[in-house]
Amino acid sequence: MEKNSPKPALKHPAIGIDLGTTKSCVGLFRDGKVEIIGNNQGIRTMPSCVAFTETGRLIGDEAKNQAALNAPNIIFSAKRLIGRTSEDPVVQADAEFWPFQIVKAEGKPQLQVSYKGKEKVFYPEEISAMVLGNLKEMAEDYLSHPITHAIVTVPAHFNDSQRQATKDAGAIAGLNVLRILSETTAAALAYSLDNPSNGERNVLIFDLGGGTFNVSVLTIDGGILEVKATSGDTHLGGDDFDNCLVSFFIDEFLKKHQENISKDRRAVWRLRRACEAAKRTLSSNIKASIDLYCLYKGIDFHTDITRAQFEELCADLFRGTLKPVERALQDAKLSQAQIHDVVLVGASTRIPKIQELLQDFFGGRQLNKSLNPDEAVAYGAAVQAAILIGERSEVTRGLLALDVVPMSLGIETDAGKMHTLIRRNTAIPAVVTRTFTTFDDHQPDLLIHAYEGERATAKENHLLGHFLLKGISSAPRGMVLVEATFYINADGILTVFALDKVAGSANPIAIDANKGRLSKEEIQALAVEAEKYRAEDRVQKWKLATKNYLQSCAFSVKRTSEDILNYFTLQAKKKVMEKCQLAFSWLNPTGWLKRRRSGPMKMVSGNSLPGLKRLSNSTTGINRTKPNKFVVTTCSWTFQFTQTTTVIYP
Amino acid sequence: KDWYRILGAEPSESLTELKQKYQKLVLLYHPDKQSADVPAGEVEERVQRFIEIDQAWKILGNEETKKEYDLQRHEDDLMQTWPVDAQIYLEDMSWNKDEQCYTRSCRCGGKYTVSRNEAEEVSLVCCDTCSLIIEILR
Repeated sequence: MEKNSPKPALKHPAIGIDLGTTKSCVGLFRDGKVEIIGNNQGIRTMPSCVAFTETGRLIGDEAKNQAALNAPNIIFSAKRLIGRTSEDPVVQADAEFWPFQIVKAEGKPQLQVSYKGKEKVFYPEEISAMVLGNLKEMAEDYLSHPITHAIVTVPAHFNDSQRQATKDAGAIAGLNVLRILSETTAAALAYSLDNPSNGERNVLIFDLGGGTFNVSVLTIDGGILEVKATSGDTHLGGDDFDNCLVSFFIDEFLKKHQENISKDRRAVWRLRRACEAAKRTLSSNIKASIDLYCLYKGIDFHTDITRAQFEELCADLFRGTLKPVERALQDAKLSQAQIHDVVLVGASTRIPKIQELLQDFFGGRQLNKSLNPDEAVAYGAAVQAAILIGERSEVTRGLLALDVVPMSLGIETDAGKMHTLIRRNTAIPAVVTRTFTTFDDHQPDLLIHAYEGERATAKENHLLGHFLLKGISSAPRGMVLVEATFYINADGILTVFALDKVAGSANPIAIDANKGRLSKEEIQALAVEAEKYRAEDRVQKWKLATKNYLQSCAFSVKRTSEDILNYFTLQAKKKVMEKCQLAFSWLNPTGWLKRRRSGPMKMVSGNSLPGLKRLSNSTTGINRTKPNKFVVTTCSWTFQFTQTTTVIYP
Repeated sequence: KDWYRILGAEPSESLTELKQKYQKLVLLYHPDKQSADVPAGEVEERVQRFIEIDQAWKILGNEETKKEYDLQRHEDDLMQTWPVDAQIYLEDMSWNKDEQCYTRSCRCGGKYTVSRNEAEEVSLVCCDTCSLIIEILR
């Protein structure tokens, strides 16, 4: 047997990120257990929203909260665009509901926003990268050291290009993505850690999130999780239920007030947020109300919706969740009775009707709700991170998740048929080798079209990409044998290798893979840009902090000079007060122009006030001649020490 | 391919035993369980090994496919059975220095010949005149 020594742990731990359609979450495995990291307000899930404003960029809750004011410049649900082409019917259908603008760029969708007064376009990967970057920062703040490695989860049913695009997003955010992990597999890892058992158990994970729906059937034995089958819908979730409600209320508004609000992006966005809140209320109450003031043309909108109405509106969508469950069971060759546990994950599994439908499907069996529906995936991702970096922990040593290919992978043969190479639900990594030959004499290259899907006709499946094998040795037709190896790695991403069997390795075949994704150079350029945005954010934050510091300094100087009269003459006190007043007017939000004219703020000068020297000394401001330079000199008044910080920002 | 050998198991072993062997191997060879200091070439090899192990388990872990495979195996065994006349150790054959080969005379008067190079691999040798075969043991 070969060595099986524990791996040298990475210098810093890797984090597990649940990059959701609507919400994201980050977890960390430390000291044998998982911690879900909250932001500085203790909120443990972050909306996957990015907003662009005149002054800067906002991510997460801040972005979502100001959305009503700035609807066309707030991007959400980037996960529904990632890895898709702009011709994709899903993209076209979604675009109608979204307040932001989608433009086409070489077949890829891009998002157009106005940022700092300029029109800018972003790839969905970049938006996801911003969310990832923010989560990374959250974790870095928590740990107070840099983080470079992460596991990012994707829906189990994500295809090759969506997985690759998610990985690219990680690279743009400056993260080395160790693994793209299926969300249901991550949830299963969380489950197996919480429910250790020795016997073999069949478990069905039902993951209904904000935008995607996944079902996986797994066999858990000891620490080994074997995915038997997976199925799902990359476009079914809470967002779709919101859409149902939004269309319903738009109709209602039309009936009540004879006004169509669907063209007013801001009104629709406000309505959507109200619908989302109502939907949540309906999971615990049987009635929810919507109150929106001045929704459209000054008309208020007050209405009620009952749980029964909501269930009726979404009945088809709810029932639609059972089909993938059936298919997964069929693929796993298991019956309902052979499933030991049905585990609910994802925020939308809180909807009572969905639970009821699923329970009925499993013959009235109690469902397992022991996992936190919002955090389980990040939890599992953190566990997987620990497994991958070889954390020296008893818990993870025997743990291993064996994932599968979600869709069959094949190539187009003559007559447009789909020739399956790797069947769906094959364990990954997987490898298949096929030999090809030429059709014409002295054919220099060979083009292979790779598809994924279950249909018999290649065109009806999803085109993965073209692989052009170049540099084939010159020979009469049929005499060349090219051996192509299709390799699906543990991330579920396909690569193709080729070998000229006649000429051997003496004739290496170059492969031009056109998978319609970003190239390495593009990713690098985007990563540099992303770093620029992060620097801008930091400067913005720092500016605010400095301003805040000056304000508190001025207040404390003012208070001190009022309290300790003995130290100053009346004249000196008056001078201090004047300076403080000056500082306040300089800090006034409307005083920006004045600030520009008056130049840097020299608040209290120690030299002109010898009596104050011991107490306080603070200068802050923007240098007028060199606007790039931002200098702050501060001095704490109880200790006489001076600290100078110079920050130069682009 | 001999799936039993890939799992390091005997055909007589029960399903639970096979499963235990499979789980042990999977924990060793799955890419997730590889340490960072394994050289690049070996990583590929281990992935290949994992794929084989997984294939073996997919066949042997299922009652139906296992039965089918066992039948196939048995059939192959029967097909490959030759009319072996005798089992002979290589040392018992006489060494012919001129032709660099081991020889042994057959009872028909013919000769079994196996060259030095062949002796490493070949286990069955035909008589050069009759249809008898001897098996070489090492």
